[in-house]
Amino acid sequence: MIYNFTLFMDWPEDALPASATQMTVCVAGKGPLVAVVDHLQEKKAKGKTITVRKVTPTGGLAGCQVLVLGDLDKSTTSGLLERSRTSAILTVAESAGFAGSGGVVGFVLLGSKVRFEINPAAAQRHRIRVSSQLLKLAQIVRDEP
Amino acid sequence: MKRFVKAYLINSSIRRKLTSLIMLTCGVVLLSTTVVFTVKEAVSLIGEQNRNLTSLADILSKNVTSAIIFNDPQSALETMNSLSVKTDILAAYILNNDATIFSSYIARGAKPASLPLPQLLSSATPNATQNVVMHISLLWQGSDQVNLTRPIILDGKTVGTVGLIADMSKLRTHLLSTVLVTLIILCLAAIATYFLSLRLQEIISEPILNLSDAMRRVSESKDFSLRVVKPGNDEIGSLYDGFNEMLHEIEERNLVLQQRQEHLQELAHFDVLTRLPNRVLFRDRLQQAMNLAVRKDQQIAVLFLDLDRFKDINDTLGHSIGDMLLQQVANRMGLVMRDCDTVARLGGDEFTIFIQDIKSAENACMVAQKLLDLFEIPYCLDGQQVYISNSIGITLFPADSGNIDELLMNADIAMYRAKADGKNTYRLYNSEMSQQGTDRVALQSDLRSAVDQKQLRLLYQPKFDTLSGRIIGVEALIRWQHPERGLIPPDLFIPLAEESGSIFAITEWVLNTACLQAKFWHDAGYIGITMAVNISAVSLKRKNVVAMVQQALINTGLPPGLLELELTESMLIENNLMAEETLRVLKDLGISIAIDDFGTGYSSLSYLHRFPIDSLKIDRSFVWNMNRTSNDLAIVVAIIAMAHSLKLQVIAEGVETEEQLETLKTCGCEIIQGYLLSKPVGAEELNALLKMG
Repeated sequence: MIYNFTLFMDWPEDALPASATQMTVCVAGKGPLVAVVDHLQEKKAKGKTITVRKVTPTGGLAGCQVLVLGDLDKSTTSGLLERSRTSAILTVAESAGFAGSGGVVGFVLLGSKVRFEINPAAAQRHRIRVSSQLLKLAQIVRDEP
Repeated sequence: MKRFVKAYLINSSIRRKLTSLIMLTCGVVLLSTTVVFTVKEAVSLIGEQNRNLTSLADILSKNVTSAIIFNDPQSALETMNSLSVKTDILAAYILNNDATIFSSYIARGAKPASLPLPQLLSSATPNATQNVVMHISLLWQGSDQVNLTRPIILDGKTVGTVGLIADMSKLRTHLLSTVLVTLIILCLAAIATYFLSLRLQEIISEPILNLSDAMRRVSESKDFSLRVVKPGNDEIGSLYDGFNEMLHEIEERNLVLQQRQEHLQELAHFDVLTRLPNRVLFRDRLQQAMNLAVRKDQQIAVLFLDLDRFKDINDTLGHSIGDMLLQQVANRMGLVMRDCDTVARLGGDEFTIFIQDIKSAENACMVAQKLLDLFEIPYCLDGQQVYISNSIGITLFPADSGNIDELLMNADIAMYRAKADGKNTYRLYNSEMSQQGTDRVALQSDLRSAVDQKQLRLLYQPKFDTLSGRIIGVEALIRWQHPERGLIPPDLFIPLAEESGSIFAITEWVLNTACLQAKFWHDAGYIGITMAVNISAVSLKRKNVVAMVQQALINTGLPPGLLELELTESMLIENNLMAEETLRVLKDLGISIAIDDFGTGYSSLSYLHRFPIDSLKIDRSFVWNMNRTSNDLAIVVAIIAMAHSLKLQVIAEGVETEEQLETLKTCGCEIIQGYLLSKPVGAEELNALLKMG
């Protein structure tokens, strides 16, 4: 799922140059989503090899293109979001309201199907361009005050 | 088929050929252009349709990628629903990578039953889907539907397939209408071409047809003066020129032909020399005059006029002078004759005249006399004055004969009588003349066979030396033993022979026979016996007389010195130059020449020294009379004296009495010939005389 998302996103050149050979997916915390991400290790996306890296709640986020947040407490989550705020990092979490609280993509279980929320403002903050096709499928949310 | 087309092309008119040609050419061009453009149009339409479908499918595939990735068929359907504006899209579908139907769209107007997709929606096993997709792909031909599939690719991987089923019927209809419009244009163009070609072919066919028309007119009317005006300076123009030239040529030839025909007509009816009617026209006119005379109960006089001694003039003065004379004679006769009378030239110096409505024989005689009088005035020919007379025979129609041939013959006979009666006169025909005339003709034809039938024979009259009394030579004298009429003297038949031309055969025979006889005597031991042969005037005129003599000498082997030719005085004068030349040749051969009947002719002695003459024979008339009249004796004496002074031998003919012989001896005449010593005898008798010595 994370892999599919990367295909519909574009990073700025300074964060992920076209010549780069690898893409770093950083994970924090635990949960079903993080477990899935582990399997992405060594796979290819957009012509680049995916590297999965674990980060601590206070660890550095430099070099991460994607940050997948597992089941973390609220303060840790917001702390990580706050730190990734100025970086071109796609933030993904499996929780409703993640997108509304400053994340870029949030997965939501809607019946049997998995739906997702996207916060375009957050994406713009992180200088990540989201494909209109993806936006068409997604539920668009705004920053909650 | 091929033969039929060929026959059509060959036999149809130029108009039709040209029209067909233009039509065929234009048809091929139009048709090929149309086909090319139509095919190009079809290809381009189909290509564009394909491109449209492809780009549509590509857009579609881009827009549904995320839907497939995130398994959102509803979103895909929404995207596909936007195809509803494309009326030619009947259906669209999206397949997963496992060939299951992910989502499908059916246009509102499309009948789902005609599409294989609805069946798929419920039973979606991959195999069945594959089959249906294959099946859809096969629909491309023969159906109005076309199936186009494009892969959906994301990040270099195929994530699914998008398929479009389009309605081609519109394209087909569009194409058909294009073809139809083109065909209509083609038909219109063909019709336009037909009318245009009808006009265009005239540019070529019209001048040709005009020419052919002109040719037909010429051949029908035979009017070769017709000319055609050429339409231009192309090949047809030169054809026109050639046609005109040909007509001109034909016209000129016709003209020449016509002139020649007229000339021939003239030649056929008129004498070229005198412009007088000829025998044909004369007979024609005479026949008409005779017919008229019978109706009007009138008489016609037919005159036959022959110039006297015309042959002599021809021979002495030349043929051109003779011709001149004939022309002047014709002119003079024209002066005295009436217009209704016809003067014609039959040929040579013979003229015929007929006089219509003559009252009596005396009147005819008066006309004849008038004609004779015309000739009293001399003719001036090339500066020379020439006297000529003529002899005329007259016959009367219908009294003497009612037949042209007989009339002409009668007139001819009467003319001969006039000539026989001393010339320069006329004679009226009477039936007694006819008998004599018939004799002449009969004798002439008999004479022709006389040589072959051995009816001629020679007698020999010896010549004696006055002093010794010995035979020194003989003169061959011809006799004609006619099977019915007996012996005919030469003065009767020689003129006939000269007239008919048989004189040459006779002369040849005489020469050969005489030479053979002389050779016989020579061989028998009678040395020096000369043989004298008389040569007629006609023979002498012939240049081959020399050859004839030579041949006789060669044939017989007689020494030329023993042959003597006797000629008359007049022959020498008439033939002057030619005679001189001939005599000189004969003389060079060793032959002797004697002048016969000397003294009777022109008595112009001046010519004698010019000719290579050996001897003179004094005419018998002088010999007979010399003892009766002193005149004749004086002549004989003078001849002998003159001959001696010219160193010529003198022979006296017709010596019949002792008295004559004595006189001649006294006068010094060397040779004597006459009945006193011997009449002409046969070869056997002469043999005996020779033997006696």
